[in-house]
Amino acid sequence: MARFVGRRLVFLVAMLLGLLLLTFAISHVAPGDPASLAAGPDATPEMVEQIRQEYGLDRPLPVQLGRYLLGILQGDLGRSVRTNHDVLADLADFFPATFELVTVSILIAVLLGIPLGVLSALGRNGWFDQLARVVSVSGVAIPMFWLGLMLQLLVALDLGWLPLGGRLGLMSTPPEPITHLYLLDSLLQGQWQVFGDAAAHLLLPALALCFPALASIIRVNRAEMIEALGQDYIVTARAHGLGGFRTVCLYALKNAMLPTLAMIGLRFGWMLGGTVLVESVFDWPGIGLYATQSAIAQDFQPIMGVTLLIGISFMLANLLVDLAYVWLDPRTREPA
Amino acid sequence: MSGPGTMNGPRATGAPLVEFDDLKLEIETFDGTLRVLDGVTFSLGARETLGIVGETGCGKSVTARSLLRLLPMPPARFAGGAIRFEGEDLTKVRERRLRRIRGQRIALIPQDPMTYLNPVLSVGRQLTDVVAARQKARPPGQRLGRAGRRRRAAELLAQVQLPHPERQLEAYPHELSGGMRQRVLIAMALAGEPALLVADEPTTALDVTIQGQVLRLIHELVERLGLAVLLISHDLGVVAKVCRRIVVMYAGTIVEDAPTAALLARPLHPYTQGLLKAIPKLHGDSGRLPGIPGAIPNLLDPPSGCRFRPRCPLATEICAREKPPVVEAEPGHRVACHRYPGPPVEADFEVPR
Ligand SMILES: Nc1ncnc2c1ncn2[C@@H]1O[C@H](COP(=O)(O)OP(=O)(O)O)[C@@H](O)[C@H]1O
Ligand SMILES: [Mg+2]
Repeated sequence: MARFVGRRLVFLVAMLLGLLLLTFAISHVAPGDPASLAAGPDATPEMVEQIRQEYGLDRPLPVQLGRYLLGILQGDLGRSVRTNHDVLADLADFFPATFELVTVSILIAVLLGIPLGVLSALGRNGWFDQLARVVSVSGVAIPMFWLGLMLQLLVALDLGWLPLGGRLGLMSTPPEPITHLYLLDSLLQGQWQVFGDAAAHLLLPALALCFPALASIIRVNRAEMIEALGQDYIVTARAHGLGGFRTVCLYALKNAMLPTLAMIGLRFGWMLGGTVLVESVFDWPGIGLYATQSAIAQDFQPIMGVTLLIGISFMLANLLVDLAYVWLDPRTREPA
Repeated sequence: MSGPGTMNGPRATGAPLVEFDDLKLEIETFDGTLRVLDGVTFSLGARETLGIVGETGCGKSVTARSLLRLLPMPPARFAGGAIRFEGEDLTKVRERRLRRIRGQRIALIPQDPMTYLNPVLSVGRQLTDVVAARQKARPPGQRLGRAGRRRRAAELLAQVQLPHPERQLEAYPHELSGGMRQRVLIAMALAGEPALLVADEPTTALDVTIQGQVLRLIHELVERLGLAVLLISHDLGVVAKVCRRIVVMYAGTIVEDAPTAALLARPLHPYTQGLLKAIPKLHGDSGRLPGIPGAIPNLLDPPSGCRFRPRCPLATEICAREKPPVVEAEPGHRVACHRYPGPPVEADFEVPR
C-alpha cells in the first residue's frame, strides 16, 4: 500500500514537471507581446522595454525557464499584467469558487449516476432504462456551454426560478470566510438565507457542468452492472439464498465500480476544463473566468497559473481514484 | 480405490427427497427454441448419493440449475413436468420461497472455483454472508451475532480441511489455489446446513492431484453430515467413486438409471455400454467420448423418437417413430430403450482409430 502510494507520488512529480514545461512553452510560442500589452496603447518603446526588463522577458529562454521553476518552488507564479496582482494571490481568491462548483458537480454526477446506472441495469430495456438512455445520449451530444445557455434562458430568464449568474445575490453578504466555500461557511454559521441563495446560484452552473459526466457515469455503470450481474459469482450468491438488494448492491456493484471509478477520474479532468466555459456563461467568479479574462487580455502569467492549478487538481483527483481503486479491488494490492 | 459403492455406509432411502417428474425445459435462442430437457425423470432419497453422467452438453448443468431455478428465465422456461422437493413443486414456488430453499435446503457446489467466488470480497465476507442468510430461518433467540457468524465461518473452513481457517477468512479468492477455492465453495455450500448437496463437476477444473482430495472430502462430509448428494460429472469414474446410484443422461433425456454396481457390471442401454467402453480414455478434461462415433444432436431440431438413434448401432425403425418408454428391466434398474423389456443386448461400436 505504502509502496503503491510512493510510486504514484513519484509519477505525479514527473507529470508535474512535464506540465510546467508545457505551460512555459505555451506562453512562449503564443502570439502577442505581453509587455507592450501591459504598457498600454500610448506607451513609448522605452516604457515597453522597461516592463520587459521588469518581468524578465528580455532574458534568454533557459534563464527564463529556470527563474520560472525557481519562482514556482517559492510559490511565485508571477504577476498578472492585467490586474497587477500576484497570480498566486489571485488564484487563492478565485479557486474556492471553482472548487465548490466542481465538487458539487462531481457529487451530483456520482450520487445520481451510480443509482441511475444500477436501476437501468436492473430494469434493462424497461421504461426507466429508456429514460436513462435519453439522458446519457444527450449528455454526450449536447455541448456544455450550449446547455448552460439554454438553462440560463429557460430556468433563469423565462421562468425566473433561479438567478442568472454570479455566486451570490446582491441582497446577501458572503459568510465569514472559514473554508471560503459559501455553502459550507454559511452552514457552519447557521446563515440559512445565505445558504439558500448560494445554493440557488450554484444549481444551474453545477447542472450544466455535471451533465456530460453524469451521462457517461450512467452509461458505464449500467454496462458494468449488466456485465457483473451475469457473472458466475452472482449465481453463487443466488444459489446460497442471498436475495435481491444485498446481492445486487454489494456483490455486483463493487465489481462494477472499478471501471466506473476510472470514468469518474477521467470525467473530473474534463470538468475542470469545462469550468472555463461554464464559469464564463454563468459569470461564476472562479479560476475559469479568471483564465478567460486573462486570455482576452493576453495576460500569460495567470493562464500559466490556472493551467498548473488545474493540472495539479487533476493529478490529485486521480491519486484519490487510484487509492479508491486499491481499496475496492484486492487484486491491486501487493501480497502481504 | 476400492470397488464401486463400497465407500458408502448403510443408508436410509425412504420417501424421495427430490423427484424429477417428466421435466421438460426449453431455452429460447436467436436461432430458435432449444429443447434442452425432454422428459427428465428420476428421484433421490434423503441421505442418498446419486450421480448424473453424460457427455458435455447433454443437459447435466441445466438439470442441476433447474433444481435451484438458477437459469435465466427467460430465455429458459419449464415446458412441462415437475420437480418435487419436500412436498413442493420447485417449478412453481415463488422466488421469495425459493430463497429459503436455496443454500438452506439445497446447496450448490459449482464447477469452476475461479469464477464462482466474488473477486473483490474476502472469503470471510462471502462465507459469513451465507451464514447470516441462514440465521433468518432460526428463531430470534438462537441467531448468531457478528462474532458467532465469524466463528461459524472459521469452523466451516476447518470442516473442509483448510489449514489456518482464521487466517483464510481474511484472504481474497485470488490469493488461494484452485483446490483451496473449491474448498471454500464447499464450505459455503455447507453453511446453510442443507439436506441436499448438488455438485456440478466439482473437480473438473482442478489439477488431477487435487481432484482426488476434493472428491474424498465431499464423500467424507456427505457421510458424516448425512446429506443427500447429486453429483454431476462427465466422468463415470468420478461418479462411481462416490455414488450408490447413477443416472445416465443423453441429449436431455434419461437413458438409464441403476445402482452403481449393476450399471458397471451390466449396462443395458447401448449408450451406457459405449460410455463404459470409453472409460480408460475418459480421464481427460474434454468430456468427449471417443468410444461412440458421432456427436450430440442439435437440440434445435432433435431426432424424432429416441434421441440416441442416429448414433446407435442397434437402431431399428421403431426408434425413429416413438420415444422409448422407461422400463424396469431388473429391480431398481431402469432403462429407456425399445429393446427392453427383453434379454440384455450388446451394442458394438466401431471405434475410429
Ligand atoms: N443459457 C443458455 N442459453 C442457451 N443455451 C444453453 C444455455 N445453457 C445451456 N444451454 C444449452 O443447453 C444444453 C445443455 O447444456 P449443459 O446443461 O450445460 O450441459 P452439460 O451436460 O455439459 O452440463 C447445451 O446444448 C447448451 O448449449
Ligand atoms: Mg456442465
